[in-house]
Amino acid sequence: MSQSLEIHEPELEGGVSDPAPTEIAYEELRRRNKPHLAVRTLKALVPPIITFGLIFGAWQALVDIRHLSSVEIVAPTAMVVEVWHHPEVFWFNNWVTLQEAFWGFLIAVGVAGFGAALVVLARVMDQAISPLVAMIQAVPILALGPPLVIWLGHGPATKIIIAALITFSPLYASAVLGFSSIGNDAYELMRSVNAGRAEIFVRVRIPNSLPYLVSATKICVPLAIVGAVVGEFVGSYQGLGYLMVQGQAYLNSSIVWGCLLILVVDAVVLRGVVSFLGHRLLRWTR
Amino acid sequence: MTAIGSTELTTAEPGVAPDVVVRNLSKCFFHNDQLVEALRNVNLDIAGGEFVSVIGPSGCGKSTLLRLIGGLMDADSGEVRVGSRTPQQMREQKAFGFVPQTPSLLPWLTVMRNVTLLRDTGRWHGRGSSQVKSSRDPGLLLEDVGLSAFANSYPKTLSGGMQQRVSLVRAFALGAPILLMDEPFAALDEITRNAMRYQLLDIWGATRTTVIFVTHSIHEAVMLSDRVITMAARPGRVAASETINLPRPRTEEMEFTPEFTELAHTVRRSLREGWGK
Repeated sequence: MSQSLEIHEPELEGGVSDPAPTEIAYEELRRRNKPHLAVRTLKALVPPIITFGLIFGAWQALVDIRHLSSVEIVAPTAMVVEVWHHPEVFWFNNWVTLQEAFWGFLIAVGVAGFGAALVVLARVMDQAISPLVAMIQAVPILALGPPLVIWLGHGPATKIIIAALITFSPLYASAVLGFSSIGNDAYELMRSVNAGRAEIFVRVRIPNSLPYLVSATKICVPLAIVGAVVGEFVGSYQGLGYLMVQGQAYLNSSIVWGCLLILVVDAVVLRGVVSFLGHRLLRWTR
Repeated sequence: MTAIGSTELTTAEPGVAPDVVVRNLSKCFFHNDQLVEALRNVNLDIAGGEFVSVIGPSGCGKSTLLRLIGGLMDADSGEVRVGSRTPQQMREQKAFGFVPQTPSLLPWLTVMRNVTLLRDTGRWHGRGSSQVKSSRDPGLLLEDVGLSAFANSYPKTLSGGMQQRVSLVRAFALGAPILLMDEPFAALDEITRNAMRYQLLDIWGATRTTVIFVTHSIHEAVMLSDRVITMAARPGRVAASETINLPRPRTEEMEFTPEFTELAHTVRRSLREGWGK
């Protein structure tokens, strides 16, 4: 706040400067510009609370009034109750799934970053790698589940690979864009003081790619989780995907919906964490 | 930061700036399958410490000339000598302070880190350290252009004119004996541009480095320079060289004298003749 105010100070000396606003008027302006934190939080929270309240209220009412069977549809309260009664089951399987998603994402970051670096640094590599990337993007990754289970078994490796494959494309695309969009003037400036490829890469290309990678990571959070869960659908003995398959097999819809609830909470919370960390990391973009 | 006046900045020894000699320089490009002669047989002599503007219509190869002198590209034929060395050797010694058309500040570095960036860069592989000892105090330079309060701000919080001032300071902070400026004020509004010209002359006056300044503006060229080189296009070549014998330091009053107008006319005439050929 104080920084953005400083800019409006007259730049050149000798000009006629306006009389400074009195302290009271200044306080008033500041208050009008930026209300109290509690007021802002409330204003931000009320609309989404109303939206979700209406949707879940209607859902709950539908189930209660029509007396729908819990196999067909589960009321929102029933989902919460299900999770509430077996927290250790849900927590254990959730932890398994999140770990798979995390390692898959991390592998994708490494491979996508390395591939993008090769492509940006050497044109030959672009010609060599790009068709492969196009192929990966064309393959329906989730359909790779069955063959991967045959190759890698029912362990976590299958899920990690699916999560990595599904998050690879957005990470790769944003890394290529981030590494290459540095502007010719900045490039020549670095060249003019004898900077080589490696130094330009570290000093300019990598920091330049960070905003792109943060937004790609936001997209990848739910994708990685979906990848892990689908891997568990195909063949596994633990994880939320496994739990959902078991719930379905026993016609216990409240377990299935409990898992869905957990997955939604996971995605929302992790996205929030990524947003927060990105916000801290990218202070200079504001 | 101690309050020291701008006279303190006169640290560079006189006679340190090398001459630039250009002989029979030619350079072609392929553009949309067509051969474009950016430069044909260009000859040029620039004395050490001279402020030379290069002016000409779009596509006359003035930016190409600047990049060939700075060792950012190689010529097809002919040669450039900077002092007794090639541009490549000089570039490896960080002897060129480059000011591109856009400020090109790195947005993730504070103003101060941007200013010291060029000084700290280029030492990863061998030789490039000899110029570092002559680099100038970035804090004093920022103070000189009235931006010391913004040393720890990020570039995004600065206006376009302020960013371009940082870009100038960045080049001077390197302490390089030759400055290469590629239309640095082209994107600024007229009022800011005019103020920036005098700020440039102020900082330059304390150093007397060699400056090669590419511009589109006749007024700017005459106002700043010891000499104005006019170029003609297709193929890019030197049309004329006009000595600007206005006294220094230059003042705003000079811009309204008959001598100034006469010089501007002469430059305009040689530009027009270059067109006619």
